[in-house]
Amino acid sequence: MAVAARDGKAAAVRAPAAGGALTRLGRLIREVARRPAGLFGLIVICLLLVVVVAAPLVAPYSPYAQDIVHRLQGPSLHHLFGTDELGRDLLSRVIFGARIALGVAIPAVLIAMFVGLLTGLISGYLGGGTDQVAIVGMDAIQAFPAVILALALLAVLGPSLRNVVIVIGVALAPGYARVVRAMTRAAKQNQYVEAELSLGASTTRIAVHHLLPNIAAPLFILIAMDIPSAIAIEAGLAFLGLGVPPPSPSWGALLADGFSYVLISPWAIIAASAALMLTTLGFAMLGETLRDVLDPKLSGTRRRRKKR
Amino acid sequence: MTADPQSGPLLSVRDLRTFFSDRQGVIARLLRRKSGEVRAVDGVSFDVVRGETLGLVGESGSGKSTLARTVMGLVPATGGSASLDGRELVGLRRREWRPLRRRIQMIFQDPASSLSPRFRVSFLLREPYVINKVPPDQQASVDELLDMVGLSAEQANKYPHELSGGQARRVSIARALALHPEVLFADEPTAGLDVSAAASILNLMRDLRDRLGLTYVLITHDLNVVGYFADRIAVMYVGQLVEIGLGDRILAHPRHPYTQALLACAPVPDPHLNEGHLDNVLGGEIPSPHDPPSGCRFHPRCKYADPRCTDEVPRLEDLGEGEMVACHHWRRLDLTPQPPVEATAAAAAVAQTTL
Repeated sequence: MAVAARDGKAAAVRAPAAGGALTRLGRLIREVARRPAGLFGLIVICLLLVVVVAAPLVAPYSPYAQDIVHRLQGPSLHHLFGTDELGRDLLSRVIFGARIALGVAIPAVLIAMFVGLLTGLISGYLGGGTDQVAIVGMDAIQAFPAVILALALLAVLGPSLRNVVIVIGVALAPGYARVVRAMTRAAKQNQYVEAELSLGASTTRIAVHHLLPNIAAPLFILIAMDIPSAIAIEAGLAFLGLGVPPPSPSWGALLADGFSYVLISPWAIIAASAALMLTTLGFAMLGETLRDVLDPKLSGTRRRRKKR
Repeated sequence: MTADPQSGPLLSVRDLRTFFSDRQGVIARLLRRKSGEVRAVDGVSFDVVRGETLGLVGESGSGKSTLARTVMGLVPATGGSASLDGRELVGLRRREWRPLRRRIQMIFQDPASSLSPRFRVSFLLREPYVINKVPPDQQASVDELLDMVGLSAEQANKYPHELSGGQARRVSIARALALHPEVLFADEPTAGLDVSAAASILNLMRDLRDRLGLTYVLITHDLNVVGYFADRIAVMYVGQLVEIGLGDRILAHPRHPYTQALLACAPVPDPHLNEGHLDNVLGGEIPSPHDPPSGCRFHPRCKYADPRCTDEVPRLEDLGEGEMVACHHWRRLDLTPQPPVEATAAAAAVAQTTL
């Protein structure tokens, strides 16, 4: 079994050698699912995706339907997670909240990745003055804790779904830029870059064809690891009232509302935090497993391969 | 120089200099700390005529590779000139370089890392044409290129990491030759290869030279390699040429003490001959081009050095017929009876009989 695992991993790492992209993806997923943490992450994320896509079908009520008579109830057969202070079904709100969580986190992380990829490639490849300017920019952004920066920007831009996405994207971009920059600088040292230059290849060609493919894998790991941060930031902003405006059922807003009534009924907080916790844990575990699978050099001292 | 009076030299390098400045941070610059310079190539001149092979030898750190990369436009020159068939190469912009890339190419030191790892050989071999937008009728097929360098057509589907060192080297050569260059810089073409692979690469390079009329600048620290097929040899030391001349003459009768020492260091495949042979071995390390010695740069390691060598920089003296040497004392020194292998063997035999 151990041998099989090693073969599978080798194939996943040495990606280009093995068939099409789909086969490779399949092999990667199988390799991730073989590890308990990875399996957990995959299951959580798949469930989440199903819930997000099929929210109206899965949710028993509308997340906005109020039922003042049955407000602040505990879990029951009618309301599995109970109801909030306006009598809205908490399960439905948590389910629709997943849409907001992922709807913010995924585009935000993608924005961060594209911005970071571009800046990192340019500053890493060109070096010199461009690089220095880019570094100062990244430092300026990273000098603030992500949540504080997002808060400040949102205070200026005004809270809306779009602005939350942009702000989180900006706050996370320097992380990608740094990774890409460092890897570009390392990859640039390879002799094939000079060989390409001597054939007359343009900067763009070298960056896109010869540097990008060599730095792509760690980006996927970073994305998986950053989605929980983005979700947490979004929830934090919503908790502080600067996120996606009400009555949208953002998990952070559920927490904030539940917080006001915590002495009467803790169920809103329990439901929202459970959702938050499971989601972030799922992505974090997937990210870590991906890292272990894709780049064994990076993982810690933990034994990764289980003997059966 | 040896330039053919009719055609002139194909490649002509004049007083070429490449300095690297020590990168300093903003604060050091504000504090006016003196920033240093590394004079990797410091005033090198030579000509290469069409069809000849110039061997560029010297220890690691003597600036051979930097010289090649400067001529290729991969590193900006600090000064001087390099021209290909009368066209100046120094200071050209990338766009101006483009058409010249087809005439002058280079193969790089490390066979494994000079091929982009994510692409199959077939892609890598087509790349020169794609980059330079060569019309299809002027392109050689992947099979033809592979065949030219003695690889089978199946290699086309492999990735660089699936190739052996020798195979990777051949692919590099095919890539460089795809554009039909006239001049090929070969930076340590045998580096990292075992003896038999190295020999077959050298044979291939010689065949290709004869078949395609290539002009080589062969960079190496291995005198056995230059001895194998260089017409002329240029010896570099700390960024400067110390001696240049016909290959056979230099190998048999070196004029510069550094050349002599290099020859003495070249391995001889008979352990019994090595005693005595190693007397001339170079002591110490090559000085840093950051802070080269005064006067003759070789004087700290030269056993013939006298006070003049410490103070006065020796000129590269032109002896005619392309022979040049930069040493104050070359006339006085009798380096000619370089312990040739036969002589040492004879001496060893004598020593044995007397015992």
